Formats: sequence, C-alpha cells, structure tokens
Amino acid sequence: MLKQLLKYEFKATKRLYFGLYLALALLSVVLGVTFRQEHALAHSTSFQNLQVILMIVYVSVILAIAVLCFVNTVQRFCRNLLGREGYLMHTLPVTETQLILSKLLTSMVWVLCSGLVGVVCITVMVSIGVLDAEVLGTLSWDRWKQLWQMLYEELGPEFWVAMVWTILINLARLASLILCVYAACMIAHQFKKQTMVAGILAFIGMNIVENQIDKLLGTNDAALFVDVTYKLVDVSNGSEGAPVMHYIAAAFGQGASCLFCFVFTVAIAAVYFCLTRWLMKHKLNLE
Amino acid sequence: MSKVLTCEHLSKTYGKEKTALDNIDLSLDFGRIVGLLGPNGSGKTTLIKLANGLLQPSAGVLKIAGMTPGPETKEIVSYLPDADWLPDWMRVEELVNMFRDFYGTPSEAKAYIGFDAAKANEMLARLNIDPKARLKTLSKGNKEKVQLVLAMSRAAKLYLLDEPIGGVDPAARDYILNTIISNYSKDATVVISTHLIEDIEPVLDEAVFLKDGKIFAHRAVDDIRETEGMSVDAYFREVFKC
Repeated sequence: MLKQLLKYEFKATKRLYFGLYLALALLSVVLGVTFRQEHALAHSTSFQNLQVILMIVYVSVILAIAVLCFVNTVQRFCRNLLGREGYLMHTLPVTETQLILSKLLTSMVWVLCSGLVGVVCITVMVSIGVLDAEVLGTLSWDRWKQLWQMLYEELGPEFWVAMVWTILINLARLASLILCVYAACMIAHQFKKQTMVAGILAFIGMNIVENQIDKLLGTNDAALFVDVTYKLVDVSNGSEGAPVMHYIAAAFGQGASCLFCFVFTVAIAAVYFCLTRWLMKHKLNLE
Repeated sequence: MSKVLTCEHLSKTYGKEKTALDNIDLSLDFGRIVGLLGPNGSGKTTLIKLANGLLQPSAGVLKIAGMTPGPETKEIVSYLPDADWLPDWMRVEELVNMFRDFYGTPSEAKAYIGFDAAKANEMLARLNIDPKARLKTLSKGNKEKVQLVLAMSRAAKLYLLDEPIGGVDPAARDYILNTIISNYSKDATVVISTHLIEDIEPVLDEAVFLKDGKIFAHRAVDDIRETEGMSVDAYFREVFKC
C-alpha cells in the first residue's frame, strides 16, 4: 500500500514542481543567451534592463522553489491528513506508518530534485553564456582527467568515505527536519484555538532541545559539509563542549565518529516519527 | 463476530463543555438497513466518525466486526462523509482508479475484491458524468453522486452514510436511495444518518434515535409503526418536538 500512497502523493505534488522546474530551465537558457550577447550589446540600456529583470525573475523562481519545498511539506501533511482530505486518507486501509512515510519520502525526493534541478540549470546557464567553440577548443579533457586523478590520489579513499558519510548524515538531517515539522503539525492538531501558533512554538521548542543535545554531543559539527583540506571532517576542531564526539574520534577514528553522528541523527528522526505516529494513532480528531 | 458494530459505554466529549456522545451502548446486526436519526447536534456524525477512526473515544469501546477501528476495519467499512472529502483536482476516472488501487485487491483482511470499478463506471455513465471531468468542475449534486457511486461500489460489510441525501433535490434523493438499496451487499449493514426521515423511512429495517448524545430508542421500524401507531417520521416529530 505504501507504493500506492507514494504514487498518488507524487501525482498530487508533481504539477507544482514541474511548472517551476520548466520555468527555471527556460530562464536558464534565455539568461545564458543574454550573457553570450553581453559584449555585442553592452551599450544598450534596454538590454541591460532586460538582463536585470531576467536575473530578478530567475532568483525569484529559485526562491519560489525553495519556499515551495517547505510550504508543500507542511501543506501536504496538514491539508491531506488533518484537513478534509483526511476523511479519505484515514479511511484507506493503510497504517499510520505508511501515511507518514509516504509524505516523508515524497518531500525528501522533491527537496533533493529541486537542489539537483537548481545545480543543473545554473550549469546550463553558465555553459550557454560562457562556453563556445573557441573556449571548448581550449579545454583539454585529458587535463580534467589528470586533475580528477590528482584529487583522488591526494585526498585518498578517506575523502570518498567522508563524502558518503556526509551525504548519509545530511539525508538523515533532512528526514529529521521534515519529521520535526510533522510532529509539530500533530502537536498543533491537539489545540482547538491558536493552532498555527502552537505548531510554530512546538517546532521551535523541539529544535531548541535537539540543538542543545547536538551541542552537548558535538554532533552538529560533523553534519556540515566535509572540509576537503582535512580529508575528513574534523569533529574535534572547535567543539569544546563535545566530549562524546571527541572521545569517539580519538578512540575509534573519524569513521566511528561519523557513524555515531549518523546513528544519533537517525535516532532523533525516529523520535519525531514515533511521536507523530502515536499522536496520529491515538489523538487524531477530525472534527 | 455476530455483530457488525458494537459500542460499550462509548462517550465522546469536545473540550470540557460539549458532550457529543454520552455513555452509549449499541449493537447492530449484519444485513440490516439502519436509520441513525436525530436532530442536528445529537451525535450522529460523531458516532460515524468514531466508527471510522477519525475521532478517538473519550471513554468506552467501539468495535467493527469485533475489531478496534484500524486498517483491517477500513477494508470492510465504506464511508460517505457529509462533506466534500475527495481531492477536487482529480478527474472522476482517476478517483475510480484510486479506489480500485486501494480497495480493489484482495488482502489478508479480505479474500474478495473490495471495489468494483466496472460497476462504478457503469453507474457514472448512467448518470452522464464525464469520467474525464475534474471533480472541481462538477456541480454540487454531481459531486455528491460521484462520492456516493464510489462509496456504494465498494464490497463492504458496513456502509456508513452520513447525510447522503442532505444537500440534494428530491429527484436526486430518490436516485441516491435507489442506488443505496440496489448496490449494497445483502449480508452487509447500511447505516444512514439523516434528519430527512420521510425520505428514507420506506427502506429502513430499524431506527436508532439519538437525543443529546444518548440513545433514546433503538427499535425495528415495523415495531414503531405497530406499537406507536404512527410512521417513523411522525414518531420522530413527536419525540423531538421543540
């Protein structure tokens, strides 16, 4: 049934995202072309104005996608499960776990897709604007290969292990954040009045608690992107109040500290998940 | 599993002030058409929502075929709420497919096909409802008909219909009642909540009267007519006289 839920969840959300992705792709091409014409039309004020307007629209679409990712995460949960559509969703022969997982996985996929589309579109824009036959002629793919080889040899396999950990930890962080939003929505659902205020306060409150535990253990340091100059994330650096991570890193190595950070983040996500599930199972009241 | 629905000391309060259901005991047999009757605010919708797991009881127990409301009972309960509850951006044919995907396949809880898509399509065609139309483009009456068709195309053990004729014209009421009568499985129970008693009286086997969150009476319709010497509608007017 999870497969079916995912199918209809993607169906419900794809229209919004695809529209913005298409707009961003088109703007990337148009902006890329205007960059290419920049030298020829540098003195034209109207061209410059057009370029500024296009740039503003471009940034607006990127911001709209970012906002959509957040708003859609909240809205799909609240409207679809706690609003009128909840009458349908909660009478389907599915478990609360399946309902929450379908929302979580869909939101995660859209956030990751949006990031990917953003990177690809910016690359396309720059490529169209900068690269031409002349520039491409000067590029030697062998040199790229050499650079890549050099990076790999210099940084070593540890770098790639750290990269994998970084991806895993940040995926867990993303899941934890979304589940925190869901838990806040379910807490807000328990209030008859001032629902939104209750939800925001619950979200802030849970984040404060999570951050304090993070600081205490030092796990927040390891969740950041890998600093390539250190080959592996340096969890002991600047983490004065992080005895646990420091100890683990010193005693068992960086890999163990990354594993600890990952397990801790997953555990936090599991707490939010269980809280959401329990409230949905025992305290759901669609009045 | 001789009863399709049982309530024991079931209560539901909203906040501290409002008691929607007050310590009710009720049991319904399989294969009956039951009218859940009472004025506005008597607790009809609350009882139906509790049976669907959309509300949680404040006290007491409610069971469907011996089970607490959950995924297993949702396989055997077909619910028609009194509000627009389907995603209105979806096309009618997509809704039929959705019901087929979720209810139409045999599972551990049921060995039979729980949703008859062919029957739903046939009923929709008879009503001249375009399967390609999006729900939000349909009139209120047609929207309600689509919802009813979906609910009645399920092969359920218990049909819980909350005000199925409340918002439609008298001609449509006849169609809806006809649809209900001719489409439910004969071993199933249909619970129809309404205050438009005159319209549903001819199809009822028994009636449950709710008054201020309590069960005032649970009697066979024939028994009411014989004992009280009046129709169920007249009896209702007598009981709930303002």
